[in-house]
Amino acid sequence: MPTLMQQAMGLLVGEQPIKPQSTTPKQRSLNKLTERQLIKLESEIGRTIFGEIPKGRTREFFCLDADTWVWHETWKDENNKEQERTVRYEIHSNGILKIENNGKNCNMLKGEELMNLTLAARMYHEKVLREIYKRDPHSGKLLNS
Amino acid sequence: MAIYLPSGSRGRLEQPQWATQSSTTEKKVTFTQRPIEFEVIPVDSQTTSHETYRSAEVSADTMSAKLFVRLTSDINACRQSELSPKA
Repeated sequence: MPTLMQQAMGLLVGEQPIKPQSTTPKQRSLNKLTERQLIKLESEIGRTIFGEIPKGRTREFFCLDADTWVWHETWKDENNKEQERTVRYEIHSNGILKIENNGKNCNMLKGEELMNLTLAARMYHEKVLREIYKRDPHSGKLLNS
Repeated sequence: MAIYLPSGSRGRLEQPQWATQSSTTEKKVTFTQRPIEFEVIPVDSQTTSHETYRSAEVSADTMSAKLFVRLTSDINACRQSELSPKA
């Protein structure tokens, strides 16, 4: 039976999440990977951008598609009850929309929060292009192996 | 913070008290604080017509959002190139 995390990830990326792989992104061949598997690889990097993950927590942070980014965290509260938080960031013509609580809370990002998200996206871009796609983040050209 | 006047612009800045430089030839203007509003007035214009740029066009938020969009586009382009059939 899928865990809550698996169900949540299934909702976010379409189906059940792929099984974690034991090798680092640098060692993997990207041949034959599906889009979902590439997103999962990216999230392995994305989750590290915000620092150490406290024990007992899981975190995912990834670019879902050309218009959407996702932050997802799970943890157990003081009653040992599973908690989760999902934030979606959507690109709109007038800015970045932050969506929480299944759409109940929506607001356009601005100020420090927007700058912080952009900084995170910049780090994600830098690391994902270099480590997964083997490309120079500035020129987009393939790196020499 | 710096902004660049539109290409081909021959203008000067009005009320440049918050700008560190203002010139009829330099197209780069550096601000000592976030600009609220400024005007570019063609120097050879005999009329009062001018272009007005408001903070929304040059704000840090706008620049952040544009960068975010560009980064997202880059990442997706790389991903799609991996998914596309290899020749």
